[in-house]
Amino acid sequence: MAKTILIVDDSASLRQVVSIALKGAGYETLEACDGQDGLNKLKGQKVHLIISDVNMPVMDGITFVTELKKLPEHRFTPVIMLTTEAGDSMKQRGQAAGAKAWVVKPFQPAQMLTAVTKLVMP
Amino acid sequence: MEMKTHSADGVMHLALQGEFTIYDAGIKDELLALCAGPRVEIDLSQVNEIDSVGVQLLLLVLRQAQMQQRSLRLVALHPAVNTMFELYDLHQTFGLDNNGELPS
Amino acid sequence: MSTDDVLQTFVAEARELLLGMEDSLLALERDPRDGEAISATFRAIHTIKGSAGLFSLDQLVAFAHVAETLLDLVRDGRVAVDGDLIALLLECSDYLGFLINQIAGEEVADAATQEARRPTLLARLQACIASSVAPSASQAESPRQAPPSAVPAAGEVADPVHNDAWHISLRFGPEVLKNGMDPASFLRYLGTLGEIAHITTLWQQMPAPEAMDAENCYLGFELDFRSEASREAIDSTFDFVRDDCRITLLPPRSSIDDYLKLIAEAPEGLERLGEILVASGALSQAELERALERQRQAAPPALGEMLIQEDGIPAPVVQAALEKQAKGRENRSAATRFIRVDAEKLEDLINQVGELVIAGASATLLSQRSGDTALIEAMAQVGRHVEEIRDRALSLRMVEIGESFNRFPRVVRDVSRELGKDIELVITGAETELDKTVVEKIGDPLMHLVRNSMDHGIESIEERLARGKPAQGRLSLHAYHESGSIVIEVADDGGGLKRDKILAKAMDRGLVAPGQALTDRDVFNLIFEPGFSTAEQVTNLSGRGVGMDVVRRNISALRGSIDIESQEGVGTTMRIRLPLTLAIIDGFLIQVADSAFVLPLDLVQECMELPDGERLQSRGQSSHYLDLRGEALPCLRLRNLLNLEGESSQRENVVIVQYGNRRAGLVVDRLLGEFQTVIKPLGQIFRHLRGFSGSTILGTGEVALILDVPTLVHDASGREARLLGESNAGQAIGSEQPA
Repeated sequence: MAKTILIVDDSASLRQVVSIALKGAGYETLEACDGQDGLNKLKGQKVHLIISDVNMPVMDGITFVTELKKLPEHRFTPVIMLTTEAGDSMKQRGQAAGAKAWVVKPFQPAQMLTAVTKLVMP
Repeated sequence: MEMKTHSADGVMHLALQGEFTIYDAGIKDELLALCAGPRVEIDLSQVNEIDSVGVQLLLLVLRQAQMQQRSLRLVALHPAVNTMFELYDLHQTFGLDNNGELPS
Repeated sequence: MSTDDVLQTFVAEARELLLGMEDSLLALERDPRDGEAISATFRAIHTIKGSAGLFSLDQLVAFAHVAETLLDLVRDGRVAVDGDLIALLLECSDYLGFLINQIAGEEVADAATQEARRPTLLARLQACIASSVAPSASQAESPRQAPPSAVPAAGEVADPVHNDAWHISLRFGPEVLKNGMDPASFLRYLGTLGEIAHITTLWQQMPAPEAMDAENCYLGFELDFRSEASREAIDSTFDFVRDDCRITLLPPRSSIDDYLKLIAEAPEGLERLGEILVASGALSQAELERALERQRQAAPPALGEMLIQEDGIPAPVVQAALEKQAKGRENRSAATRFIRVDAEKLEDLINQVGELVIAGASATLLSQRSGDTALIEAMAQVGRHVEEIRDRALSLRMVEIGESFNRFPRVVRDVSRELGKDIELVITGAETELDKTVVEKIGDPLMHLVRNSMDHGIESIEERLARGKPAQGRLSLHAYHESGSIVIEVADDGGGLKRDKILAKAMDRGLVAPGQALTDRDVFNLIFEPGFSTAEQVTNLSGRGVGMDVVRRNISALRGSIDIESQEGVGTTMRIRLPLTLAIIDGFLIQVADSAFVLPLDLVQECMELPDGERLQSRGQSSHYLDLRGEALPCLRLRNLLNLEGESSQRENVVIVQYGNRRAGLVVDRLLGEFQTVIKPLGQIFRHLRGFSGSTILGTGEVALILDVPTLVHDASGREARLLGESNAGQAIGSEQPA
């Protein structure tokens, strides 16, 4: 059974590229355009890993993770946060919220795939 | 996860079914209680997913049984459990051979 | 989906983000403390950079990175927001737009000039970054400790062991499982880098049942690992748990001291770990004993040194800030729920709906002829649905005019700086909807009008003050719906048009005959004549090769019209009136002689029978007036106007149409009722005909021409004004109504 990964980012092109890379490796993907959308997409859905941006409209990634940790069905799902070198203080806040895995933007699809396979094998 | 029990000939047979993961951490006390008899067999053939929490709980009931000198055996492993045991090299710990079978 | 498609998505997305960023920067200019605008600007750059990285657009990434660094400092309040910063960021936005255009594969005319801006912009960004103030204490980040791992120097390992595999010692922190980090997944990943030759799972640290939190991790591992991978690669396996995990990585043939250290620090105790290492083959019994011997000789303090686990992450109180961020921007989220559809697909759909409308009309006609009541009712039902589908299909292409207003804040800002004027732009009615195809084509004429108002309309600051006006000029863009049209006004509070000057110039150019009586409106409209320009001085805004005549031509091409209201010293309003859609209209079918014609129903005000007396009077004339409840209504007799011959009906009818604030009566033979009209362009041979805007196909299959009401109304009242003017000293008559 393929593992399902939720990609939460306000950039459609980023979601698409990541999705193509992950699907190529045998994962299934879901996409959401912000944290709120991400929470909606999780409803009734088994997800093995979440990739989330920090800076997003409507609901940012930190709030998203904080909310995620309140969902009994999903609170232990690993989250890879996307950050920038500039965002170290953001990283601390994210870690406090429970997001321990970080990937620095910009990244190559292969880098993302490596990060994902560390946490969930296809 | 679901737990089904029946006993026959003084052996408590416990069948675990479904996913055995961190979301099932809450079954710890119930599991310990069910495994408290003198002779217990745990059937893992229906456990289609297991993570380290599941492994730890199995190790916990095993250790309790050993400490109290009770008999606790795993009688069948789902491939998912077998793979996990291989990764952690736990077959011998549970008294199984490397194929997940009970030594004859 | 191919990567190329995704690149197109990226280009479209980046352009939208840049537009949004411009909005935010302008908002920031109004209120430098607008935190949301700062965040939005940061987010735009951040997202562009993040996505660009996926496509290896290194030029773009490198530039965006510097801008992002600056914006991050701005967000932290370490760089102040001022006019210069906003100007710089706007220029960066322009430059990024240029890069995006290049990525999109578009020809960029002044590519070299654009590219030349890069070093300057980068230098200015760096200067701003350098000017940042130090972070306050609360923002300072605690220095990170280096990951605890032994670092053997290659080639000079003292007293190496025989083990030719890597030895990896792992003790996972209690929280890892709750964070979704299962040790099993890291071991599986490690398996992709090489072979785990031996593993010992340590679970003895697991507490008694009552003390055990089943969600915590109590596992540790000692493993021997054969791999060609580099130390970095192996080490990076544990990147995500480095903070929560004690990791020791010993390369093949490490020094026995390193093993000693490992054994000494093991929570399981010296003896136990020693046994494990020997059992796993990492160390021989002899090596273990040698290590233990050294340990006994060594000074206790050195051994007592423990690996220091990294401190837990300070958990600052962030809730308030987060809540604030989560709010607002809700309108932005609506945008992300949209689906991108190829405009051509919509075009196709609308064309199909057009065909459906025609086929439906034909079927309705046949049903009526059949006299079958049930069929007629059924067709009427179908007709209502077709009408609904038509409206829905057309509404798919309706977009808010705000889309074309978006660029004006920037234009007004830049141009007013250039001109040394202070101009405030007020936009109202940006949510007014109209057909996407119209929106696309109205951009350029609007731009010209806006520039014209800023350049020629609004006076210089000195002039304004001298006239007792506020120094800040006001330019407003206003859109609204009015009887089936959309009206867009470009208004300024400038000097207004100078009637005498225009008239003098028009005479000079031979556009009007001396002594010809003209209304104010007629005079003002002269500025739309080809080759007319009143600017005394050609600034770099004018002279773009586009005159007001082109503006009018563009608007006419959209079946629209433009007129001017102006009062000297007070201001000018240019009013563009456009049809909401170019595809399908509700028509009103009339008959003159044997031919059917269509009028846009929206423009029809009322119908009346032509009174007998009037009828006699008007015979043989194409134009006259009708006394409509005391109002002199100019009338056109279409039969005469169009030179149609054929049987005339006993009674003639007048259809009163209104366009803008002018009204006119059209004398026709029969009124045939409402008719859904799919507009087809006129064939080549009809193009030159004045008074028709298109054609349509009737249910019978016959072709009917669509009358161009604006032109007819204009002709009717113009003719009338001239006729009256000759006898009445140029008094403006017309049947004007307040708009």
